[in-house]
Amino acid sequence: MSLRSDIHALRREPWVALTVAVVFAVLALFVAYPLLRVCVACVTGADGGFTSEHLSRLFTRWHFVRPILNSLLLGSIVAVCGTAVGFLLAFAVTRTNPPLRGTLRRLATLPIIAPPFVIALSAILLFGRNGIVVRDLLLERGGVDLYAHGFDIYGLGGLALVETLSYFPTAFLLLAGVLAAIDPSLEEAAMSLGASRLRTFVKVTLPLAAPGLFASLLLIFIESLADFGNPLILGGRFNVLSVQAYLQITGNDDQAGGSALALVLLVPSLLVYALQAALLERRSFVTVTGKPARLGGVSVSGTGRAVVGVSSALIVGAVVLFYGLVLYGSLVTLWGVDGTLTLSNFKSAFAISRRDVWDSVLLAALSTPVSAIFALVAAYLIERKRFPGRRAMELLSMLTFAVPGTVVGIGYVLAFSRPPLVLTGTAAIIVALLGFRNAPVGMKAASSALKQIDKSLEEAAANLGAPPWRTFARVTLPLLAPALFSSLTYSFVRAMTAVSAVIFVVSGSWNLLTVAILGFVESSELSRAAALSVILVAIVLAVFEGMRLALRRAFPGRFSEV
Amino acid sequence: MSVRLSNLVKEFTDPRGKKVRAVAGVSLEVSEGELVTLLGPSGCGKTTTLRMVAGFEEPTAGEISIHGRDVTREPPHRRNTPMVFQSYALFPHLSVRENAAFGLLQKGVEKSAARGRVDAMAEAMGLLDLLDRSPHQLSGGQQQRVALLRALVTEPKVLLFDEPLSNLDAQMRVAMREEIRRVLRKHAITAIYVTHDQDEAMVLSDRIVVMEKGRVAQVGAPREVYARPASRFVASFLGEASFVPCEVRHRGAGSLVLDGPLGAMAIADPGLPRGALRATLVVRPESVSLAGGGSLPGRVRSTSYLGHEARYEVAVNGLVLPVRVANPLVGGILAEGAEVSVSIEPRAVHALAEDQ
Ligand SMILES: Nc1ncnc2c1ncn2[C@@H]1O[C@H](COP(=O)(O)OP(=O)(O)OP(=O)(O)O)[C@@H](O)[C@H]1O
Ligand SMILES: [Mg+2]
Repeated sequence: MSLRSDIHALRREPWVALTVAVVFAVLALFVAYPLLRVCVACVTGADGGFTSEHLSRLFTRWHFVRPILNSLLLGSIVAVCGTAVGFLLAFAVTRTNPPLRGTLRRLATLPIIAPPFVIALSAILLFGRNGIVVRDLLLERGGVDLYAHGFDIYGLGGLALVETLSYFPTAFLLLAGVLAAIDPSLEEAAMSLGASRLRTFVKVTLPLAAPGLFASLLLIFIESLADFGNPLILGGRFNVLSVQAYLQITGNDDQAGGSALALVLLVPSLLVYALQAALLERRSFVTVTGKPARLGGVSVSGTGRAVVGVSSALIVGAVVLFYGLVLYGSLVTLWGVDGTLTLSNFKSAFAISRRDVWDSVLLAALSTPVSAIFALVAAYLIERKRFPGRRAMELLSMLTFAVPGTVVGIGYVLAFSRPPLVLTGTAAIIVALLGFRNAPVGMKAASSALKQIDKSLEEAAANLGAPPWRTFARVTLPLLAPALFSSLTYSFVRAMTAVSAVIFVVSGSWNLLTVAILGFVESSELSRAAALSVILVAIVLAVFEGMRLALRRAFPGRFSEV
Repeated sequence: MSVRLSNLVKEFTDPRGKKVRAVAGVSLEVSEGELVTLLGPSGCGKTTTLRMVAGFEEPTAGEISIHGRDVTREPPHRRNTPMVFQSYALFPHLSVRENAAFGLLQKGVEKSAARGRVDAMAEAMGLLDLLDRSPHQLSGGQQQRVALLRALVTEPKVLLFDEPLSNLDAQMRVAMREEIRRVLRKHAITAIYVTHDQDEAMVLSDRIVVMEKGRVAQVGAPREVYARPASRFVASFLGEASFVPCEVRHRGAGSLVLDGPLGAMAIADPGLPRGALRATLVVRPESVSLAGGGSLPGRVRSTSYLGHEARYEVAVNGLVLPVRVANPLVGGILAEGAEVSVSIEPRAVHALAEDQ
């Protein structure tokens, strides 16, 4: 609507105007300002004046060009492999009615809630010089020395494997949704018109899934680009953007260079974000009908079913193996040296990192309500109120989700290590970072829940004489609660497993579990790293499952899985 | 014989592992060029039967043959039995023309030849102008006509319909069913048509198969199924009926005298079992007359005026009979409480054995 009527609407509700102002102020300080600092740092010389020197380094200095090319290469490989794997599993789940479908679904999404670098740790346990496959199976049993043949888990190959396993769930969730939304009558119509199963797949299923496949390629490409934990552990001499930016800032004390690299990370992410926002507004191909999808029809032959089934089992098996191995690794006395099983790693790791564990839980727990309250307020304003800048608020508050963690981390360092607001070294900076970074998850949940709650319910309450705040508290909030709580759980989990952004703002007084694990890996204390990872996963799973059960009980029938 | 289903059974396993018998032994023969509708209440197994013919579901037991060839285990694409769906199922990523040509191209027809055949058929159906559009630019009725076109150009052996008109508004439904009948007759196409709309079934069918709980309750021409229903279920599913318990007074050659609350009545013998002592009279609301001259005294319990007819509930001798009077303004509308004399046309009633 027109700006004028928006302003008029605000005049009648001064509390809305006030809230809008506060939300914008918060967004400006914690979202826009840090990003702005990154951009400014890229073009500011040592004398404080403008310079293009840092940006030109991106194209001229090999140790800048190289990571850019490496990241693009890795991202492309992972995007293709991850999408392929995700599509296969999505196809298995939506089209072949496999046994243990629920379990398959859960295992396939496990990498989403687990800390991102656990798979890299397992890759070392399996394929490192002292790894089970490389040493125990091939060298000692088979007499084959893979490393003598040029094999190295550190580098492009290893990273591609690990990131594919880490990020295929994105493709899986997206494509399972897309495939489930395709009316099965379309495939049946094709077959009844004489198209074989393969032709039906190629001519109907695939084209209808194409927008989803494209989106998946982009998303995984961005996820790979933004990945920090895996390349830090497994990169070896294969340097990628995020790690190089980190090293530039923490190792070489070159904030301008780091910022320039971060800018390269930022641009494609923002492009994809903008593209996605634009695409979402357009009508998509997928047709949804009221009739429930028939599962396990005839669109897949017996052979096809077997092939899909076996390959999905292999993939899920690999996921289980990679996570299970961390548990095993945590029980081995000294990886590569002493193979006897023990619980001592837990004791020693916990003794060393007890404070990190507490800090992690505490900071994640503190950041969760920050996410929740912000998400709720912003989503409510955006969905239910009219004010100038509504769209800007929406885009800005979802932005942190799209921006790679490395960029956010650098932004926070640049923004809050000098006046007017000095926060470095405090818990506040970590809480703010985690809180605002995870708010978009809650916002999405709250927005879609608000969209489903008919406005007439609120109007009915108002009509019965309830003041606005009471309508919100008594009607809207209870209806929102299930969606909000489940996204809160997810925010907490993300806060617990975050690494790429927070690694810039941790300090001697406030450290995090994830960062401690990375420290153990870097000093090759693999068993301790594994033990801490197990503790982390256990906390996360306990919170996740506990919350799920609590929600089931509190809102029977109304709780939707995240 | 075009399609023969013998003893088809389909069991599903529900999520809790319980077996559900959706189709419990259906046998049916459809002749060349015949249009047969499967009619029945929701969940009676119509769709499942049809989907087995198409090859989308594999029967648990029984056989399907098309033109004498056993196709029970054939995949759908080798049956040449295109289906027209309730949701139209037009491919959204293809134009109307590409949709229409889809089946021909699968059969290896040359692109140009396929184009010619699509154009010819589209012209005959008045769809030529729509060919270059995309499906989402069409109205529901147009989409369903395109779906029909897409199925027809392949010159199918058997055309299958699953409630193709359910998503259309009432007027469009009437127009479309005329069109379907015209096109199918013109091309002498064999078709199996699933519906739960009895008007549709009556208008379209050569024969109606009434289904109940996975079984065939009755097969017959529309007139036969309506006038001589095989059971209470069929009688009450097709139209309205009251059931009046009677005693058999006399049985002659092909005729029957029944006595009951409506008095003694001589009717044609529907073939009651020998020695039957009791029977159930099936009385349709339109075969009861209140015009006077009847021998039964009755009282009007309620009156509804619908314009083209009036509906009454009339209490007669302890029974309540629904009655319809066409063109009610001619004889005047009866008030509630009015005393009437009721007569029943013996040629329009039918009798069932007690247990039918
Ligand atoms: N894939 C399936 N899995 C389990 N049960 C099914 C499945 N398909 C159908 N059924 C069950 O089989 C029975 C018959 O279903 P069917 O779809 O054939 O009914 P219908 O006569 O077409 O009904 P409607 O008029 O509602 O379309 C129903 O009880 C239904 O719940
Ligand atoms: Mg049906």
